[in-house]
Amino acid sequence: MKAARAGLKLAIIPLLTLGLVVVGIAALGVGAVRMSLAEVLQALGNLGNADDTHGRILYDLRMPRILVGALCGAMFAASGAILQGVVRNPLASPDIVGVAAGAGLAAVFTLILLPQAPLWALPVGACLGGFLAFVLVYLLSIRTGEVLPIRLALIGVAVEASLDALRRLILVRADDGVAQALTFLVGTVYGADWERLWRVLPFALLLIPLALILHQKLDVLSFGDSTAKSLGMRLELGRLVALLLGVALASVAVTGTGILGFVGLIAPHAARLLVSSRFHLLLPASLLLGAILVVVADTLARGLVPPLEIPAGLLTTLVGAPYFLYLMRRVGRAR
Amino acid sequence: MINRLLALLVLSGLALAQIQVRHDLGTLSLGAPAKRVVVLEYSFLDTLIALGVPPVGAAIGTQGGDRGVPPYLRSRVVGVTSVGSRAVPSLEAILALQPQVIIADTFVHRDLIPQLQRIAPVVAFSSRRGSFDDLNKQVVEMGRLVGREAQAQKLLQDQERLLLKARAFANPKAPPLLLAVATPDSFTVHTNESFIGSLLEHLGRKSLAKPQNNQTQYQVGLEGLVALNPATLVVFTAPDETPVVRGWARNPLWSRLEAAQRGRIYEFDRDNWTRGRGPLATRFILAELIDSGLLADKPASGAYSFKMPTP
Repeated sequence: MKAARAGLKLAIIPLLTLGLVVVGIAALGVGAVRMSLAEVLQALGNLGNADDTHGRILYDLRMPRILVGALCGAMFAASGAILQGVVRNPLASPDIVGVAAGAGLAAVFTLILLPQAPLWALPVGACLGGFLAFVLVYLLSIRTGEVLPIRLALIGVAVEASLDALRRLILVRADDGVAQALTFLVGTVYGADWERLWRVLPFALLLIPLALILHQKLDVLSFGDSTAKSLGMRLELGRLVALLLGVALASVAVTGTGILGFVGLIAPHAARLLVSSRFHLLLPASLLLGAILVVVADTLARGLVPPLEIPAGLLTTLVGAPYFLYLMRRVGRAR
Repeated sequence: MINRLLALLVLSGLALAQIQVRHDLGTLSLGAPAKRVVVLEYSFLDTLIALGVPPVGAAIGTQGGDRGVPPYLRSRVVGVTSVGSRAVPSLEAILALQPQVIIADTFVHRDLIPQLQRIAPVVAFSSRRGSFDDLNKQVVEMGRLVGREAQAQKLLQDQERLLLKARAFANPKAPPLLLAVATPDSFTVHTNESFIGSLLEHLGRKSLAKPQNNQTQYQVGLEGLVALNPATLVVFTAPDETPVVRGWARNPLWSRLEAAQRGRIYEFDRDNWTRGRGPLATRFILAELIDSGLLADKPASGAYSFKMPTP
C-alpha cells in the first residue's frame, strides 16, 4: 500500500512534465492572432521563413514569452519551496519576506530617479533590492536563533509597507513613467524576447540544479534545528546558503518577469499536497507547477480580451491572495 | 573615370530617391513612401489621417489610462485596426499587420523600442511631452514618411492662417491663465511648454504655470491651486467622469479664486483638447477657443462654462 502510494507520487512528476508540455503547446495557439493547431504546426514547419507572419509571431513573440514565463514561474516556485522549508514557515514566500517589495522599490528607483541608466540596470537593481529587503526582514524577525512563522509574516508585511511607502514617495516625482513602473510591479511576461531568456537562463541553469543537488541538506534543515544539529550539520552555514539560494532564485525571476504575485506561495503548497514535503519530490513538483501556473496566467493575459494585454501578475495575485488569507487564518489558529 | 562618375551619379540619384525621416532616434531611410504604418500615440493617428494616409493599426484600445480615440476623431478612424493600449500594445497584433514602419513615443515606449524594432523600423517622436512646435515638426516628418510632404506643408500653412485669425480674437491685456486636466482623482497642471500651453502662448495667451523639475505637466491639490490663484482657469474634463474639481467647487476656497469671481472658469473635453495633439485636433481646438470667448477673455458662457456641482 505504502509502496503503491510512493509510486503514485513518483508518477506525478512525469505527469506534471506532460502537463507543462501540453499547456506550452496550447499556449502557442493563443493570442491577439488566433491560430488553430494545424496552423501552429504549419508555422512551426517553416520557422526560418521571415515572411511568414504566423511563424514570426510564434518564434519572435510567443515562444520566448512561454519559455521566460515557465522559467521564471519555476524559479519563483523553487524559491518559495526553499524558503518555506528552511524558515519552516508556510508563509515564507518571496512576496511575503520582502524580496518582491525590495525588488519593486529598486525598480522604481532605477526607472524614475535614474532615467539615463542603461536598460540592464533595471534587472540588476531589482535583484540587489530583493536581497537587501530579505536580509532586513530576516534580521528583524530572528529571535534567539529562531524565526517564528507569525513573526516573519508580520515583519514581512511591515517591511513591505515601509518599502511601499518609499516607493510611493518616489512615484510622486514621476509622471508618464508611472505606467511603465507599475506594469513592472504587477509582474508581466509582456515583451519577453529571446534576449531576456538568454539573460535569465544562465542563472536558472546554475541555481535550479544547485537546489536539486542540495535536496538532502534542505530536508535536514526543514526538520528543525535539533534534528539538523544531531545529524552533524553546520547549521548556520547550511541555513545561510539555502536562504541565499532561495532569494537568488526569486530575485533573478523578478528580472525576467517583474513580480508575479504569489507564485512562490501557491506552487510549493500545491506541490506539497500532491507529492510530499521531501525536497527530492517537492522541488521538481514545485518547479513544474510554478511553470504551469505562469504559462497559463500569461496565456490568459494575452488571450482573454485581445489585443489588450493584462499583466499576468494580476491573474496570479487574483488566485494567490485569497489563498494567502486562508493560510494566515490557519497559521493564526495553530498558535 | 567615366564609369566612376556614372556610378557616383547613380548613387546620388539613389540618395535623392530615398526618403529620409529625421526622428529622435536618428534618421530612417526608405526606398519608397511607407504605406503600412502602425502608430502608438493619438497625435500620430490624427496626423496620418489629416495627411490622407491612415495607419493600418493604432493603439486605440480602452484599457487602464487609455480612453480610446478622442471623440473629435472618432468618425474619421475607419479601417484602422486596434493594437491595444498605448503603454502595452500587443506586439502580436502589430506584427500581424505587417507594418513597414512603427511610430512610437520617444519617452513612453523607451523600453519597448528594441522589441518594436524587431518587428519593423521604428520612428520615435516626443508626442506626450512635446510642445506645439515639436508636434508641428513631426507633421512634416510624417508627411515625408508617407510621401505626402507637400500635403504636410499645406496643412501647416492652413493651420498658420487659422492661428492668425484666432490671434485676432485674443485680448492682449488678458491676465495669464492656468490650464489643467481634472480626472476623478487628479488635477494636473499643463504648463506653458506642454502642447496646449504652448499653443495658447502662440495665440497670445500667457500661461501661469512654468515647468518644474523639467516636467511640463505636474499635479497640484486645491491648496496649490489657491496659491496659484489664476485669473482665468481652464479645466479639461471628460463627460463620463466626475472630476475632482467638482468636489473642490463646494469648498469656500474655490469661490475665492480670482477666476471664479471673474466668471472665467472654462471647461472643455480633455480627450479632444489634450490627447489628439495633431493638425485635426488643433483645428477643433481653435474653433472651440474662439467660440467659448476664452481668447477674448470674455466670461465663460453656455456649454463652455464650468459646471458647478448640484448642491
